[in-house]
Amino acid sequence: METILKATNVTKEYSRHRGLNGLNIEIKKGRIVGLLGPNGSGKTTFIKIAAGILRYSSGEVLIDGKEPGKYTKSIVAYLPDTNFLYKWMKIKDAMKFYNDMFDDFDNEKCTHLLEFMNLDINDRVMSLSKGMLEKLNLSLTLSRKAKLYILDEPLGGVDPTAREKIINAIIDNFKEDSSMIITTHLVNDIERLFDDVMFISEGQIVLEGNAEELRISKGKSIDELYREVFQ
Amino acid sequence: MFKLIKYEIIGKYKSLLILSIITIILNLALLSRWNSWPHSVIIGLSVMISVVVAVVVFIWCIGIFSQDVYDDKGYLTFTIPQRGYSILGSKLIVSWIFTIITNIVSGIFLYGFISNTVDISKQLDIAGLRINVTTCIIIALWSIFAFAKGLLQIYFAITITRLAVFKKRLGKFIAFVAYIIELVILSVINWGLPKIFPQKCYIKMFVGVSGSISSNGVGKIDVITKGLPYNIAVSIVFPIILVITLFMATSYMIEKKIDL
Repeated sequence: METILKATNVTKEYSRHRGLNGLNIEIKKGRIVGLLGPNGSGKTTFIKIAAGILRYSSGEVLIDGKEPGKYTKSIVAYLPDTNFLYKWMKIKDAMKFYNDMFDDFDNEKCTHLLEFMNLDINDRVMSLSKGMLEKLNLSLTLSRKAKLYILDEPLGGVDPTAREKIINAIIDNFKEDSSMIITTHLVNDIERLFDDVMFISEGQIVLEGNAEELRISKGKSIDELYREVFQ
Repeated sequence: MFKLIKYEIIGKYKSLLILSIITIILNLALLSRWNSWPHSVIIGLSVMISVVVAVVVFIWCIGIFSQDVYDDKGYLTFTIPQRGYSILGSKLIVSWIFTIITNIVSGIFLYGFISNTVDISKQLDIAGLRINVTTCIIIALWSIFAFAKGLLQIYFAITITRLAVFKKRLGKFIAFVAYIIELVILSVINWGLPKIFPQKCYIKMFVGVSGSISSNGVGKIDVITKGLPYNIAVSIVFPIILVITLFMATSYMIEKKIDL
């Protein structure tokens, strides 16, 4: 199976601590991978490196065979865990922006996703609640025909009803020829999505494998396994 | 790059419009006092308005870049597939557009006030001077270049600090300190260069010097007849090298080294 992302011995040094400590990750094409770990484990650090907005100190990261840069940004659809849209924008402006900036953006798909999420394109980005904003950001991200989707805490701060909508949107819009990394600590809600899971702690992968195989071999759900690993 | 310019302009055009309207209203208010206040006071106040507007626009121009580097807006700007020079170039072009628009608005009123007080062309005729149009165009272009140089110095200080310091508030303060250090270094270079490269050139503001000015003492008319002296190294070569270096270094850092 083709590899879309490969990280080898990646370290990230901050002034007072080490964000990543010799991290090794390989993401295959067509897989949804859950990158699971508590706060401060290095999930977001790695995600940012893959998105091309954080530099690593040593090691190697290759996305579709290339180091993070202009090309990888054109094939990676990144959903950060912050409100990154310009404050003056309405939803329709954000759509136009994505359409202008990303060649792989599908305007029609975005319109359908926004309807599914019950979002009005004339609403101002700044007037949206945390849950609505998360839905909007996810709609924009999933409307790209990217090779790799990176979703950083897509369920963070979102109520259970909205969570279900977000999960359904991910299931409905994921294509077999792309891959997806989802970071979360709300494992129970989202574990049914994962083909593979990686447990990250102190900047290293401490457990990884096929989600179904892990459930069978350990006799536990991924959520229970998560609690056991990070207790 | 042009798409980036488009979105920067869309994001700021309302503020620019409001600022321009305020400038017009304030200058119209001065115009209404034309027959009751001394003209020198009105011109002085109009100059003050122009200066305040220029400062506001300059702060916006810094914000256009610093918001991407310090705020969450950067998550969008730096994840789009664009080169660093496109992002930086778009910021500079938008800054130029804003500055030119506000300068035109302020400049029209200021020119109107001055030309209604002093007949400039008549005064020049009496003095036997004609303005050198080519020089005026060069000065205008050089002003645009100098504006870019000023902004790039600030953008460079912001970027280099962002690479070294992670904390947002501390980062802004240290960026200011870095900018001051940068100014000191550049001042030392500007002071030292003429000693190594003393060559000068003269830029003539006026052509066809005759009449009352040309009959004055030789020492007094030197600047008018010969032109304004400029050290070639400090005034021309070094600024060009500096702008190219700052542009390339800042573009490289925002593309390859920025940590959000």
